[in-house]
Amino acid sequence: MIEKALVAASTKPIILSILIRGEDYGYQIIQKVKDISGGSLEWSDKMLYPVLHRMEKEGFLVSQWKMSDGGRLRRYYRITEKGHRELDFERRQWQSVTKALDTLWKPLPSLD
Amino acid sequence: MFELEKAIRDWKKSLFRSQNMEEPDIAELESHIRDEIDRLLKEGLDEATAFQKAVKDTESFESLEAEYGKVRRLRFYGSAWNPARLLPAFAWSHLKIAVRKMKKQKAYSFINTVGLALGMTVSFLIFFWVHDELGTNRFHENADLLFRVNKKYQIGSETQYNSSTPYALARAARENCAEVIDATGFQRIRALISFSDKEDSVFYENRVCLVDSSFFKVFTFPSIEGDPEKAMAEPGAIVLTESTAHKYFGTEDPLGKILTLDHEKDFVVKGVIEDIPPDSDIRFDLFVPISSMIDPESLSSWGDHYPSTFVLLQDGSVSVELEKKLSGLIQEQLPKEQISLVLQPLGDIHLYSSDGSEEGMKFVRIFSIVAIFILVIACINYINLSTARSERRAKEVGLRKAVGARRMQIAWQFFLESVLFTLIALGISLLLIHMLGGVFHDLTGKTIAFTDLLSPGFLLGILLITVFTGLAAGVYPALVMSSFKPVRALRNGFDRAGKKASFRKTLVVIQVSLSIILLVGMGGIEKQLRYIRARDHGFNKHGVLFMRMNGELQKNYEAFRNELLQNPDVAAVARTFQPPGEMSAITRGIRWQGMEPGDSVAFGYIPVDYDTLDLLGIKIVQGRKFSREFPADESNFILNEKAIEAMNLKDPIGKPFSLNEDSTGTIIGVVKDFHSLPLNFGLEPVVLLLDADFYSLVLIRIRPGDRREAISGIEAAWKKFSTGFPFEYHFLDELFELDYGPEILAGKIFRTLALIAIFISCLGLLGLSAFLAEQKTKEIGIRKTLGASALRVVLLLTKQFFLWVLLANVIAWPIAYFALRNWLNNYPFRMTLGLPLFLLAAAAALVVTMFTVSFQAVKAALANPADSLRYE
Repeated sequence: MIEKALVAASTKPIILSILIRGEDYGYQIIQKVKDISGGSLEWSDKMLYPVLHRMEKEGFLVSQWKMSDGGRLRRYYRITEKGHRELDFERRQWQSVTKALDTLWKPLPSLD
Repeated sequence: MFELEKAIRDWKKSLFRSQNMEEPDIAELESHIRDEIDRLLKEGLDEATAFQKAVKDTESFESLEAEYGKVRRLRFYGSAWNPARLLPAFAWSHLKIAVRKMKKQKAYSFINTVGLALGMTVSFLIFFWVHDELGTNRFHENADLLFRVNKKYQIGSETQYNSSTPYALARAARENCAEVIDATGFQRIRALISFSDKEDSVFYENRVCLVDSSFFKVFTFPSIEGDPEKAMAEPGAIVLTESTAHKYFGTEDPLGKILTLDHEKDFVVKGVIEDIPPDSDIRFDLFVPISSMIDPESLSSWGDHYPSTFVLLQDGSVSVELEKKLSGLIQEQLPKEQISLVLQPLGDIHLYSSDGSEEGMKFVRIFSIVAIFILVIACINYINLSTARSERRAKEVGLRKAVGARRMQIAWQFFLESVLFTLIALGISLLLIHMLGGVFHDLTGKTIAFTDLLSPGFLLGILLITVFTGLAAGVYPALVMSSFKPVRALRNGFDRAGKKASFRKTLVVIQVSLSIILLVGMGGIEKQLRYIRARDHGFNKHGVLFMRMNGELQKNYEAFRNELLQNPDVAAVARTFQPPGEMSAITRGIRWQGMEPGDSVAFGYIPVDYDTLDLLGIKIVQGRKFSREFPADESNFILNEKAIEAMNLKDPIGKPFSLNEDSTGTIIGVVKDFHSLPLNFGLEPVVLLLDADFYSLVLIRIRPGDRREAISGIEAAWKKFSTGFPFEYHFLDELFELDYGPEILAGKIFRTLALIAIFISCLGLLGLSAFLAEQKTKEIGIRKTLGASALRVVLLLTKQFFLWVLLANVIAWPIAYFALRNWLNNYPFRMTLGLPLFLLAAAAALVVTMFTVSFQAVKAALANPADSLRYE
């Protein structure tokens, strides 16, 4: 289980990074995150959807309702220009942190 | 038995109860748990378990709600204020949605609301005017019991009416008819007012009223000082209105002060009344007992018809017997005339003439109809734009239905939006009314007091109009939109089935038709006015001015005239009784040779001097004009062609002619007919004679050129020969303009209204064309990428409007034609109702429509096709 604070902080950059690859809807995002993280990150809908809405309100995403061939209605999210810039910002932040941590952890034996 | 769909529905219902979640959010969650259930089913679980697991995932309802709530509140500046507590959740969320929708579509909202507000403003103003007109003269306490006595008489084969009655009538009516509680006669005169203690204060008063002692008993004119009722029974007393008293005496107490009438009689101020309210046709500034100005013999005569007579009846009903009784009174005295008397209610006087035909009432009707037209146009726009906007939201509607919102909810949503809009429009319109108070006054002479706006009648009217508009505009979208099949709506935006399109088509066509009708009306009125103005009166009316004669001038007339003729700007000087074109004096009892018993012709009575005919350019067609060389001319007469015709007289020159039993003279000439009366009244038989007793006006014709120079020259001469009297003059042609007052005003108002209607229509067209352009965005994009030129695109979008305008013309022309013909029938002289007028209106409508619509068309044509195709 990953700490709550960490999960919360990483939500935005993860979502943006997923959507950079193409538009997607809530349920699928949750599945992708689960797969990519090897199961460590299991987002609940209670957590994800409010975040998506907040990000939309802040202008990083836009949403559009689409009808699938099976007749299922889904709300797709797409990243905006503003979202791109926000992602850059987040990447630089995280890269600074991970760079520091990588440097500090190099001499230590492997953790697995 | 576990039913998955039912379980999901129940679960959704519980979410609906939340105040923080709206349909889209719930739909998203539903889609989510369905995906989850699908996955779990694939893994082999049964429906019930899958459902439990999927729903459990969403944890507790409260925390879910709380999360959503936090996001919601982001909008309210991060504060924890939850307005949902102020109103029932149901209405509040709908209201929130409505406001949100409005903010999203600012342009449409603006156009829509402004258009509606304009329409409401205009209708309110007209409604107010109509209400005021209908209520004129009704402020008197006895209003329902007061009737004017009108005269009905025969001239040859024609029946005529007027309200000039004998002096003796009022008293006779009171004394001889039981139904008549009281009666009063009053007459307007002009007088010169001066003061013994103030040498230079001299006033010409136009609105002096000669009244009897019943006047103030019968009419309600509240007094401020003194006792006007009693005063009018005292000879030598005078009653003033508040402003008049102020004009003469400033802040001093007017009671007891003395003023002089016509430099002859003195009167003591015995009363002051409130200024006469604007909605009164009986309008005077000074009141004097009639016995002080008219000699007793005339007062008891039945032959002189000057005053208006009003009777106050016991109950407010007019019976045929009463009219017969009254008629009997006059018939007894004037057996040779064919005269009878009829009664007209006080309340009708403003809008109906003495023969009962509609005068002002015509305009009341016309403007009421125009007001309704404009309101209908505004509503049509509103409905059109509302439904157009609604179509964009078809997806939203489909979505909500898919999520389970009931049809009533959705309908209610649209309805509430419509009401919100209408209320805002109402607010704007009230503001506009307030701001336009000045313009309204210029056009109508009426002022809108705030208290008037709050009167129950007016409020009711406003409420009705608003509710009607809100309903009309809201019902259609509400019902139609909420009945969509959700899936179909979502798939392709909106089913543009023929039914919806033809409804919109109809609305636009109606709107343009109404505008065209108004345009034609406006053009028609203007044309008729120009026609009347241009009509030849039969005498010189340009460059002729007239001034009032006075005692001094009368004495010095010859000298005055000679002095004036020295002035190169002056062409002619003469005298007469009344201004030509306004000669209302008539005389009966005329005798001529070959007259049959029972023949009775009323002649216009026109006193002239030797120079008058030349000054006015009135032509002699037989015989000669008056000449100083023939002293007998002082008892001779000149008639006009119409008179000869009425008398059936052959070879009139030299024949005897007399005005009454005593004197006889000879006809020495016949003049070509001219309009002694206002044009509307047509031509009358007239008799011209040298009657020095009635030289009340001095006419002066000036040469074409600078009027001001000529006038200052005349004024100089005036000051030499008529020092005690203010220099006042009027031009004949300006006087006639006053006759056309009602028509000019109607023209102005019609013009304003037509323009407003067109403006509102343009707003509507703008919105509509924008919507249609948007609908066809995809189509346009495709065509452009296939190589269509901008011009083709513009044509594509504007084509349908062109057809609509054409259709509107087809509908509008017959209606406008009949309406205009109807109106023109009121005028004995009218212009020809020709095709150009209609073509012009049609062209105007076409040009304006195309111009408005082309904005959107051009914008769409020039837009980047990539943009329109991107969101697919």
